[in-house]
Amino acid sequence: MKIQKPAVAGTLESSDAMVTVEPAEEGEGIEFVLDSVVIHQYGNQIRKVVLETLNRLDVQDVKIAVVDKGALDCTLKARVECAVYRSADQKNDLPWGGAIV
Amino acid sequence: MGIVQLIGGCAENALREEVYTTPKPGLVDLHDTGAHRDMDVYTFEKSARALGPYFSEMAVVGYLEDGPPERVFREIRRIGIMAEKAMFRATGGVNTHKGAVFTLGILSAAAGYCFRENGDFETRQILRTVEKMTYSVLEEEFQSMKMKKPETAGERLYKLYGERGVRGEAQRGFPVISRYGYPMMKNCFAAGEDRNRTYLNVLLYIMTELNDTNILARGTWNDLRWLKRESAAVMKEGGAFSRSGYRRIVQMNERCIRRNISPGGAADMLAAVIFLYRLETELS
Repeated sequence: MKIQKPAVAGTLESSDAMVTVEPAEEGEGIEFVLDSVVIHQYGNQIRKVVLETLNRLDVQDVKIAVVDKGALDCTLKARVECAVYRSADQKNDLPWGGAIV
Repeated sequence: MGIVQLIGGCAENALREEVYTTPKPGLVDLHDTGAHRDMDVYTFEKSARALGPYFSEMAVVGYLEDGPPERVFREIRRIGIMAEKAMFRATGGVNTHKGAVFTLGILSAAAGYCFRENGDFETRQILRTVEKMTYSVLEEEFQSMKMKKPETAGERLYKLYGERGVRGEAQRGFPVISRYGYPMMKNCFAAGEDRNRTYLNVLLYIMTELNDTNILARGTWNDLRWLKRESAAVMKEGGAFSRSGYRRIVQMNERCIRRNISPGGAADMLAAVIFLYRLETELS
């Protein structure tokens, strides 16, 4: 999937995360920025979940920033997916868990 | 870094750079807490950190809106209210940046809007967008304010004196920034002056002009007149760059503490100028 425009999903409430995606040049890859209240405990795990989700959605080039307030993995996945779908401007028939082709 | 992250990051950093500017009259800085007893530099740092992502969110709204700019303003106010709550949570109930959320929030959204339109962050364009974004919405708000009970300091002062405060500034595209703060910042940096004194000079220059409602909320018109006169005197002596001007700023600080007044509105404008300057130079 190609990131078409900036998009946000999620909130900064406790146990949630706010995910911002922005377009990147083709071939630029994934630029990942993380700010988390539990970065020392779960930084690597959060990174893994986010990258896996992007991979599953077949997003190759993106600038993604996650501000995490202690979200569970499932929440993170949902927020990343939602931000990516929003950035592709698809609102109906979302292939939750898969890529838009 | 993405554009949206850049805008949010610049806004967050502008808040830090403003509070680190020392010595500021009556305001919290690295030397003292001015005329405040419930906050210090650390409170401001926590507040700035909590607010950064909200400015990014507002930048997204501005970037995505391809209709009239007023729509942006209505939309970001909802985010502004959440930002305010996050600020109070981060500071334990202290109002550090309520005015700054308003000013920098509008500027962040306008910056996003302008970037999509023109592909750059030209200060003049951003301020013109602010004018379009806010004028009619706030005009309506002033009308309805006449009927209802005032809730904030700004609303109370409008009812009492007809003073439009920061809303009035936004409506006119922040003339105190475009005519005073921003040119001063540009000139000082072009002349190779150092950062702290440049920021001080910008602050004092803004203070000569701005009807700062933070002063009126805690003090009187007399205090405001005194502060404007005093900052004009500092500027006349060469501002923060001359020894006597600098000394006079230090004295102003002591007198502000004694009068229990703090030019928080001018400080917000300083943060706004820093934000605009950094954003503009970041891309070039």
